Amino acid sequence: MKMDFNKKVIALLAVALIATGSWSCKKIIDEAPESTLDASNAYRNSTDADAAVIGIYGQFLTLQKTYILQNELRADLVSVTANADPYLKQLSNHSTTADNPYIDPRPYYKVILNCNDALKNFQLMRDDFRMSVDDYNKHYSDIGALRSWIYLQLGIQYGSVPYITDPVENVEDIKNLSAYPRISFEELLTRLIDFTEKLPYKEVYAYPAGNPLVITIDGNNTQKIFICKPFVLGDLYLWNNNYLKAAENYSKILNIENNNTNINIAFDAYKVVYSGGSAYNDQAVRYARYQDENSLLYDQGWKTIFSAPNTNIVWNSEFFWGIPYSSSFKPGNPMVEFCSPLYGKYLIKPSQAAIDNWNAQRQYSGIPYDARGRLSYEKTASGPAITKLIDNVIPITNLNKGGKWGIYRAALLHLRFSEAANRDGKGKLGWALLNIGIANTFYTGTRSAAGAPTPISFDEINTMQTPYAAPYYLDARNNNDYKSPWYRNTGVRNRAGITPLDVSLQNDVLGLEGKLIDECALELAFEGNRWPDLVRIARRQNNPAFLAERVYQKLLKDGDPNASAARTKLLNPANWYLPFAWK
Amino acid sequence: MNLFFHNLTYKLTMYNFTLIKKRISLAFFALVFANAAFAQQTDTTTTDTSKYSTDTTTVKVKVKKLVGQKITGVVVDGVTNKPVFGVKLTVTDFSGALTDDKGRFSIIVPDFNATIIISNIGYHTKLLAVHKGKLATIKIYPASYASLFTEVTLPSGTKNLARTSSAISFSNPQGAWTINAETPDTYLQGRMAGLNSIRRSGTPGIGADLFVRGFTSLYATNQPLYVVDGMIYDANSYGSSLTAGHRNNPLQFIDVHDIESVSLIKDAAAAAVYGTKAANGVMIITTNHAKDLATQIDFSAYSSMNFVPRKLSLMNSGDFRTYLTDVLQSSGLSSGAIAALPYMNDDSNPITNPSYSMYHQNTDWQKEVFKRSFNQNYFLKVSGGDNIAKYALSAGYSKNKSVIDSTNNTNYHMRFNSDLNLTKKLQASTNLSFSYTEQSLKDQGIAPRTNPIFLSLVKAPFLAKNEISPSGAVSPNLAAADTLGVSNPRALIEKGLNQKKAYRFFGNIVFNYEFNKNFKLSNLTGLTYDKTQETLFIPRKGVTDEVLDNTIGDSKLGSQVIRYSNVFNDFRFAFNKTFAKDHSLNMSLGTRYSQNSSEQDFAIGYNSATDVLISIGNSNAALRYFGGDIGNWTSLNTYFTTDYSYQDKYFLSLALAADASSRFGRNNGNSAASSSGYGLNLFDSKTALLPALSAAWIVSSENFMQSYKGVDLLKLRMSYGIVGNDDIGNYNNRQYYVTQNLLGLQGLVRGNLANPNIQWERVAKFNTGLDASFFNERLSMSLDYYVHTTSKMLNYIPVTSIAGIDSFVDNQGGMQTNGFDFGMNARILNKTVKWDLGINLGLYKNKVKSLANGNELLTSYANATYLTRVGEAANLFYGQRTNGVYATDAEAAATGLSVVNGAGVNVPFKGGDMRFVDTNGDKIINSSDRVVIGNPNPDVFGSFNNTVGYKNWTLDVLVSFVLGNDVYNYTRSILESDNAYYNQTEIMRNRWRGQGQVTNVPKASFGDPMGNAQFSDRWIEDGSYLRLRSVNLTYNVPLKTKAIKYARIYATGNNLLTLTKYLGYDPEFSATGSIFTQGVDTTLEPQFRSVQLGVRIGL
Repeated sequence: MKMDFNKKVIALLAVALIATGSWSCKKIIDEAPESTLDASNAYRNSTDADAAVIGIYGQFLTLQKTYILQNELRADLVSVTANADPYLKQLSNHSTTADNPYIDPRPYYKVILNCNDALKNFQLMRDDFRMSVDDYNKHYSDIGALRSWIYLQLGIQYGSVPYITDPVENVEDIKNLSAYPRISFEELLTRLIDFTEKLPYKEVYAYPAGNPLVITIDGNNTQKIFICKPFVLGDLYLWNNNYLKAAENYSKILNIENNNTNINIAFDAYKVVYSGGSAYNDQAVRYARYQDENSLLYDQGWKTIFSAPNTNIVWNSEFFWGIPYSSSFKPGNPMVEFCSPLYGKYLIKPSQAAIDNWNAQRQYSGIPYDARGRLSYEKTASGPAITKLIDNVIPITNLNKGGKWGIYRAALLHLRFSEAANRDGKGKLGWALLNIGIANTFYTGTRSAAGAPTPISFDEINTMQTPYAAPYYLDARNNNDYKSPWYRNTGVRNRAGITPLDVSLQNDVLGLEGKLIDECALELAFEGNRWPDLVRIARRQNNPAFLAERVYQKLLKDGDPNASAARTKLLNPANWYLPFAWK
Repeated sequence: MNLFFHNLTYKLTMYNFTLIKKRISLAFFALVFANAAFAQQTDTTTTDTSKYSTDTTTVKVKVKKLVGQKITGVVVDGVTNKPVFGVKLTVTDFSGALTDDKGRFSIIVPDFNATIIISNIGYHTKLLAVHKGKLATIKIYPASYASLFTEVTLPSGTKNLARTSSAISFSNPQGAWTINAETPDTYLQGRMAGLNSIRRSGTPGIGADLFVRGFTSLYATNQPLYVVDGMIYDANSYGSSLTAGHRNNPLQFIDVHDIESVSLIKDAAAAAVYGTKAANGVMIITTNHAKDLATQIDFSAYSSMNFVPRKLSLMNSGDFRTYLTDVLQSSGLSSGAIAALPYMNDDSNPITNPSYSMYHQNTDWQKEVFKRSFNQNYFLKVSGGDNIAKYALSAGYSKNKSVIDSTNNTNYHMRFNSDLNLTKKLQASTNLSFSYTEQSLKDQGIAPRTNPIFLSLVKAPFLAKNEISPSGAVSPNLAAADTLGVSNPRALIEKGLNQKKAYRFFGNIVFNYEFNKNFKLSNLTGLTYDKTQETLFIPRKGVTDEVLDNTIGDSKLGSQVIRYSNVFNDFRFAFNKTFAKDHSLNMSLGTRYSQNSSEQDFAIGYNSATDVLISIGNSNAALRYFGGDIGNWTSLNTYFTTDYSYQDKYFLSLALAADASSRFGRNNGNSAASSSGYGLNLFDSKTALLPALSAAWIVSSENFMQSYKGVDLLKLRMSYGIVGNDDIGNYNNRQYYVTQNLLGLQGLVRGNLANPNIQWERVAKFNTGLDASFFNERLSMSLDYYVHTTSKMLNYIPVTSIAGIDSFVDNQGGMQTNGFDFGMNARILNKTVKWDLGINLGLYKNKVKSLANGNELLTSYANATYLTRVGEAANLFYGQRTNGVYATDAEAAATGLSVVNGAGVNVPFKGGDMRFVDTNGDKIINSSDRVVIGNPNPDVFGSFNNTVGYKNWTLDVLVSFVLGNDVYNYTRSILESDNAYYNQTEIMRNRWRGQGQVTNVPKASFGDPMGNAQFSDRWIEDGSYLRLRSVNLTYNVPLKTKAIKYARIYATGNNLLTLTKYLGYDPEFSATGSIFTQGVDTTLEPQFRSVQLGVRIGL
């Protein structure tokens, strides 16, 4: 009995040992994380690819702060308040020191890292059939275009930057980064055009309806959260002074909804239309009573472009790229902190120069200023405060930090397209989109006593379209029986109720170009386009004063002692770019 | 075991590698099995012939003719000086003898190089070198006496302290009968040289942070490794408690009454077998096993009373109202507007001023929070058995209340230890324990809305705890949070809930199999399962609201579960043989496998309907959020030790550990990365190879020492070895993704930068010391000098902007700590009155050798900045230097100093502002003027221990002290901040109030635009203290009856007296285990005085 017991114990022990010994040693000291996703489990199927896209856009949202501050504060439309910290002041008057946190390129590269990681993995997924080619095309192109957008920003802000397209995976890769070459802005543009042009899917909308990424969630639709690729391409070409290619890409968006079966979308979306008295085309500056400046409408018309939810038709007719914020989810709208005296710290405000721009305009009704100013900022006890960036249907409070980061919209598209057309010898088309619309500009036929076109022949009707080939062909023909896609187009200034500029500009390339940029100050103020606009034109015209003078005027009007120093500095194009610190 | 085969074959390709590995290990274990079977065979054949009964304790003594020298002598009790009967004297593997009733003995020794081992139950085992001629009287001391001949438990088994070559401190609690309401970590305070045990706070069960010879790391743990009954006891607290300032202390699951002995290995030599877990020393704890076969029952009961701590002197209603007026004025309010405030209105007519009564009280809020309380403790231990099975069973219950009203800690302990002789060669033992604790807590530390102590200090004294009607009638309802934005501490005490329930099962089974006298195989398998469950409720009434991202949180509800589990196995071969009588060799080879997982899950909600619905399900669903973490890690530690001794005088030990861990980097094949870390690439990942070598020389055994009769023991030791710290994060070696939301959608983004090179921190420890015992052990001492050099120290490495990741963790720093430990024990009186004096001292100096990026590292905690700079000690207080207060505007203007405010505008100092020292001379006071203003590391720490015995009375006095450390009094920095609506200390009555006033307290200024209250030397105090830690008087009741073996009565006073200049409640606290938070008083519950009466009965 006893012996048996001993033997049993030994046998048991031995078996246990053999069992222990045959565990794979590699396995027993291998532990994968469970509350985070180990790289070995990532990118297994197209749902994982969707998750990567969502994660990247979630992170991209944090770039708004940097984007707005760098693009607006450095230019002429936004100034700092007395509350602003010294670093913001530096940014505003072009005296940044190297330790300025607002000029750190880190936020951009944070998103780029994730883009690079996703792009590499998308390719791997396609290669091992973990993802269909169709899914690959869409996901890859979306993230690829987003990366190009970020690099374009980097180029605009920093001039020459390292163009990194491979993901940093571990600390060994860091060592290689220190030797990464910086390429010039020109070369960057070439590389970006090359890369973006080769993307396999370049449609206006990143994912068609029905794709799992296009859904309505928490009261927001996701379709236009994703970047509009033709616009990125258009911008890249425009920066590269390749006007025809730019116009081709822009026109893709202009005409994307032409065949929509919903005629209101077909006629209104991205076409900068007059107010037709319906919710579909309520984007114009409107008054309850004409010529009564106190009856300016805030909750209808032009301002609702910014405040309406992204499921609303007004927003959708104007915007084709914008990301909403929600008070229920992080992050809240970061601009509340910067803009609002009531719910934020009130660090930035519209510059006197910007206010003067609006005040220099005149409305048809005789009201001696541009109402878009009043719809873009408000006067508060603390001073003028930007509202455009924090407009929301539900009023912003310190607990509700909703609103949207609107990036691409119709007016921007029209002004950029006009810029390309003007440079490409189609000044009249540029003038038309800027001022009174296609039909009004090109129509040469019979008019009624009140001045409205009343064509009496096909020939007369046919003058309501642009006499150019694509991409400059826009059809605005219209009579009681026939409406073509562009018939409601009214021009950016007309939509705002502002009198048109002189027709002589149609044949003055430089003059019109300047006016287009001036119009941007009125229509697109604070939205983050100003500095790139100034740099692009100054660069193209080889005219640093174009930029320096405007910044100088802002600082001068603000009483900034650094005004002339900034002017001198900016007269040297090398100083347009922020120091790129390799911290 | 497998490691070595890998070692041989690791150059082969992976495919072959695995295959060969499997075959070899199979073959190897087959061999082991065969060997074992063979041994068993031979065993059984011999036992067959020798009529063996089940009585395995029968020893068959072969009578052998002994050739050698005859030694005679007498053994007496060192305490009573009476001869001891039945003492066993042995010469290993040679001869043995027993003393007769006169204590006399006669023993044959092989030669004059031999050592006699003198042992007796209840006494220390003494080892004496034989010298020529008659031995003097041998004194042996009872186990309770602090002797250098004590048996200590080391990783390789028990060993006599007199024969070890490692630096070891020990403590034998002997049941710690005089003590209760202590956890093992607090119990050890002042009991070991070189161990600085810093009590975290006064909260029962909260424990202490233990720093063995200072610290070795910045970011990894600095706590020693605990090994309880041969198994690693994970004493880390996983996850953070829902109760602010609280830490779960797993050591409270070990009942101090159950502890038999504690030994602390401070150097690398004996600790090296624990490889990458041994960087901060190894604390080896053994619990009670039955020593006798006879049944022994011990029962004890205690009750004690806790006293309210000394109050801080704060302003009364009148002074506070004046102060408040000043602050309000400085915030820009006109005197008219101030007078119109309800609490400033002195119109006592209830009709015209209905809130007069409400705002005209004089409440001592500290009195409302601190209350005297009582504790109860019961403990029962039963041990006994027969020669097959012995058991020790214990059970304990304690309910320890604390001085914050309504807080307590209830504990249930259960332990079952057994020793089984399964066969003659196979023994088994179990160590099973289960403990359960239930704690009622309150927020502490930096929790300005919910820490009742903090609130009791800052709350306006003119308010009352209950609602008061205009007529002055006091309602039973508690008052709401006040108009000054301060919660009612009574609301938190009465309606708030910070409940914690936790348990831990910790148990193991050990099998020992002796093949023969020389070979032994043993296996320990153990399991830890730990679970903590917490419930939190912060009431709406009486507590200020919490501003959340998108709403206001009035009440807060929370629930949390934290689990930790561990499977542990330790398998070893031991070989032990004496060659040619002078050469003794002990070797062991083993492997420990440890698999761990921890998980934390919590839910936080807000805004329940009423303060009665307190469970998480009643919170507003839209505001609920959840979180948690999961961590898994495994390690495989293979170890080899050899202890060699020659003539029992010269000792040489070698230890070697090879550690693999799931946490280490996987940079396989890249020898450049691994060779720098003394590592090998095995198992597709780095393996730490950590050697240690030690030697000892017993000088007193040499012949030339023969004439020095007063010297019992003189031993010189030296050791050098490398140990590691594997607390480097579970997954830093892997690339992973974390979740990122886009509105309500969840996506993934890169979470980190994988570091395939990450490895253990490497700590090289040099130690040299001596152990000496004189005059028949009347005086014994140990002195050690050590140098601990950390390299491969963990650092956060900032990454270039263009990488897209902020930082990663890498082994790029180094530091060095050196110092002395000194321990001494003396029996000063040994007549009718016996007086033992013990002294423990420790001192260390730390120096940072290198940091990853640049020479400096700034960290911040509780508004303070710590500086860690190359060439200086780590974590120094770094702030402004002050020099009084400007008496006049003119005086301030004359200095030309100013601050730059948030908007970049220069604001000059005025009268009543602090006179900061412009150390860099740029006339602007800002962060570049900061200098080192204090060092939280002590110059010396230690203790005095006195035991005086007289007849049946014993008096124990333990005094602990810390000298030369600086403390940042965060609490005082709030109570003298002079810039908010908080009540202030009485000192603030001297604040600057007008031009020309000379004072050292600045003016009241709301919001502190000049930074007068910023982190500066104003808040740094000398943290030195000397504390009468415990005084204990024991009376041994003389009994005639046989039913009761003994009865003892204990009277104990804890923490009776503290000598310190510190201005806060208590100079001793530890807010977190990180060294970057040491020496900060964040308004934790202070340690309090208590007195206790207890009785212990033996049956």
